[in-house]
Amino acid sequence: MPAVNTKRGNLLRNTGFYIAAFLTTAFVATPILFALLGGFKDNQQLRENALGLPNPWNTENYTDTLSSDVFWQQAVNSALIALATTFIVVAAAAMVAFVFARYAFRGREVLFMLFATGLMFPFAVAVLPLFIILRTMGLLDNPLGVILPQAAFGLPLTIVILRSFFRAIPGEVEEAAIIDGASPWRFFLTILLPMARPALATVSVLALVGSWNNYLLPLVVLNDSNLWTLPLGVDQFSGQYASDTAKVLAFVMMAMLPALLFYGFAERHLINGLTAGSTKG
Amino acid sequence: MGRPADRGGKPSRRRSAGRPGAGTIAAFLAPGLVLFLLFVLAPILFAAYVGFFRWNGLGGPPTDFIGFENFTNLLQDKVFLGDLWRVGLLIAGSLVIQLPLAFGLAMLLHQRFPGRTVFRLLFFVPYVLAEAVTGVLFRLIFSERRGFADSLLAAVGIEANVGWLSDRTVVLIVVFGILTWKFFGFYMILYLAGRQNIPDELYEAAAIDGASDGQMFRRITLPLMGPTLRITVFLSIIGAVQLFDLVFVLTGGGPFHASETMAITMYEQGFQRNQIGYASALSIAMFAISFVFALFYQRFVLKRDLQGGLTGGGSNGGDR
Amino acid sequence: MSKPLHRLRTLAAAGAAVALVTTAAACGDDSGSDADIVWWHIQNQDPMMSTWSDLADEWSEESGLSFNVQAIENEAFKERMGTSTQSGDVPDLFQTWGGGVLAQQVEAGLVQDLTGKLDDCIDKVNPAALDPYTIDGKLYAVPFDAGVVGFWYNKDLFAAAGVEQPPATWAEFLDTVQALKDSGVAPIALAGGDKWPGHYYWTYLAMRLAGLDAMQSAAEAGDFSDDAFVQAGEMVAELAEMEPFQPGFESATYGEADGQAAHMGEGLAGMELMGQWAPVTQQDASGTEGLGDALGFFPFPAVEGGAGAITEYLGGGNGFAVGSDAPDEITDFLCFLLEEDNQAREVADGGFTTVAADPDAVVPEMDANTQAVVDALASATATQLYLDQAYPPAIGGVINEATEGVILGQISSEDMVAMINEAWAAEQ
Repeated sequence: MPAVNTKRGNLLRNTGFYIAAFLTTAFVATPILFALLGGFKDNQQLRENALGLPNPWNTENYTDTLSSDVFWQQAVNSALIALATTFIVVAAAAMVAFVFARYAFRGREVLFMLFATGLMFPFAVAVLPLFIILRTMGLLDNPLGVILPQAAFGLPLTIVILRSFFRAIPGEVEEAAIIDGASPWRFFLTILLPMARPALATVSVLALVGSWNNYLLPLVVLNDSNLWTLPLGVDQFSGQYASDTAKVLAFVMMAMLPALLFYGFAERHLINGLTAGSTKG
Repeated sequence: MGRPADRGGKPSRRRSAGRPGAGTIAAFLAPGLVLFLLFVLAPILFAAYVGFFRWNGLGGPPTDFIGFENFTNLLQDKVFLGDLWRVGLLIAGSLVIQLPLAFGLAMLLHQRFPGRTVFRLLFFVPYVLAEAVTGVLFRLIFSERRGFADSLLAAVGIEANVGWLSDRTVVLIVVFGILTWKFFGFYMILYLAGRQNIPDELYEAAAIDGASDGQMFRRITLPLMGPTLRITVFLSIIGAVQLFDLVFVLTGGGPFHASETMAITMYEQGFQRNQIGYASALSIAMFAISFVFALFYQRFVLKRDLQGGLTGGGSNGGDR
Repeated sequence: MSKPLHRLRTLAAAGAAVALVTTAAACGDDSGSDADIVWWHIQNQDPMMSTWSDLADEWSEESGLSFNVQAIENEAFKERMGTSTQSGDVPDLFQTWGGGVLAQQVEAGLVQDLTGKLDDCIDKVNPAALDPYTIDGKLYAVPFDAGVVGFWYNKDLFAAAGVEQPPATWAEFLDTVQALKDSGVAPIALAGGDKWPGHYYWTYLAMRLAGLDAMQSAAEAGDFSDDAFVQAGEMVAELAEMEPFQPGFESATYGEADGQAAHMGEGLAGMELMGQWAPVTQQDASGTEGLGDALGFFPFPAVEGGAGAITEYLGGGNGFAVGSDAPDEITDFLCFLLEEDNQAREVADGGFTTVAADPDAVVPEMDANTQAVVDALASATATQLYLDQAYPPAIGGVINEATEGVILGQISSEDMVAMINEAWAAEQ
């Protein structure tokens, strides 16, 4: 692991390392700490004691947020939309990746190219015509209007990652299944997918995070505030309670918390997915 | 259809028994393909069509065909040209500052030090947060009279009255700073992964040959991380082209377009001013720009992977 | 074999989640809400926010129809309304300012024609207040507020700067600005980030220079090339060069904590050019009691040699339009809102300027600020609706944007006129 490690200047290097690391940590953590601590202050404290610890600690903003229906409703909306998106994109992509990886058929390369080019479409490009198509299909103001396009835009990356994983599964496994008389469906569902659990977890985490953080599509599709996801809710909340900065900070912090917890929990999968996605694709 | 893979010279038994027919393959492809055609390809084709009309999007399909007028107007639109310029600045900034910073930190974190996992975990945190939520947070941090940024500066003795979001010459720098905050961890992780893929033996051999640290960096690290570097460059360009959430929430593109992006202009024209035709033309322009980059990307980066797809994919089931 | 089973269970769970969302989506397909009436308004601060809800509840009890009332902040509302209009599915009842924006919604078939449906109660409204909502002789919305735009000023700060009389002419106005500046306060609060507050300056100057008739014919012809419009822009630029606005005005919003209204409410700026809702918003945004007696009102000054009179006002109000899919009973609710008791509650809690045909029945005692607006309205010889609402959205948007550009010195007055003309040409 250690690359080239001469003994000279080890102490110096250590010190340099920690200085750089702590500076970066300060850079990263300050805004988040500001939100976390700011939520415990009141507005007067925010103004007069912007940098220090809250004094006294004021939990009202957080308890207000936690006891507000709006916050929970939006968190649930975000979660449901993210789960549904993930399920659809992973299921559809696994099926496509399966035949791409393991069978040869005419048009395969063209189709794969088609999906792979999808990797390079910025989502913002499509949002306006997508809106009009969703309007024609009657999917505006409907969670499906967010779920289906998100799943569709998630396909390319998911397919690319899963395909290379499926390709790495040895042929003997399939052969044995076929000898046992398993159909491709059976092989896919009962053998391949269970074997691919790490890869499935990785792409699921990517899809979940992508959906959880999406803003532009819900912004144009969901007009009814009962359907809003957290990113929309935070923006609206900050307008609604503009004069109450501490309250907004608490709401912002609470909206960031699920993503932070999830990251702590699925960090490995997320990072695997991102590195796989960008080296494979 | 359903032609069996014959590249690897597989046993013929498998071909006849296990290989699925065209119908099965189509069934596997169908859900993904339908989704993709309906929600990814169709919108882009539709935008290309609508871009030739003057259309406010209300009441019935477009009828007022105006040829290339939307596109020629776009090329004279100072806001759009400004968007391009600003995207260029952001890209330049990330190539010169953001990516090298991430690269440097990755090299640093590649060394074995106590606590390096914790730092790696920490640096990646901003990437996990939603851009829109980040935008709201930084709007409060940089707000004019009670901003946290001002207090922070004051604490270190700088009483500068900076118009973080209100000064047209400053706002883009602030946006860039926030983007760096949000994304350097992501690029750092990619670089770390790329660096970890380089076998230590190469460095050991070079050290035996008496190569200096600098030589090893130039001769081994940089070339072998080429693919990762090219990918991050590409990702940061695509990211800049489609930048929306963060800036929209932070500044709305203002003051007077000073932080506006193509996607914001498109949103304003399309959804706020009901100029759907013009906004579609803008979408197509964005598409064209990303497509040119995508071709570049394919040529230099994806190429190898696609070749693998052409040659390796079918034989994989049978290679032994 | 436990692994595949586990996998299948996960799949089943995820599938169930999808089914749940899908059914939720299928059930709630009327605007995603199962309420009979979806109502969007922009009074997102108490007491008025609660008053609208209370009124909805009261009528809901009487009629048995359910409500989904959403209080949306002004800027967010305009944004939501933009996508909502494009989606072809507007709320059953929603805030409108009338004019060209409403006309476009009418043309798209999104709004109900209310003509003849409100015979029992429309006579409770001052007919003049219906103008902005009347298109081709048909009524498309019912107002609850009407007034004019003028300067709201801080009498204490004016006095401290040695300004004894509110300025009556543009030249005096510029002197006032200078005097306030010399006294060390920001003469004018402006929400540059929201763009629309800036467009009042250009519009008023154009009205004073060209006169209302010329302005209306310019809009009809889609041609604002007349010198008066160029000159209006130049005068805006001249004002901006004096740097009369609060620091950071370029990104300031109207209603947020650091915004235009908050600066007035906290006594940090001398004046603002704003509509009848200014005093209430000053309190809400600053979290204070506002300026109280120190707040005064004066009309936009006359411009020497201009064709427009000082009695011509830029103005308008707030109303509610009805979506085309709204239930028929909604007209009863509109009449309910117009009952004099209820009008009185609205005016009291919302700080609105009454639209009642018989103001005395609704507001027996008016506070000084409201009185000033009512007097101005009464003395008005003509009014012009805010241009960003009077004209179609594309043109209103360009006027807001261009005024901002002129104020920030980014474009010239000629550029501005060219931009407006181009926008009109594209709209024809």
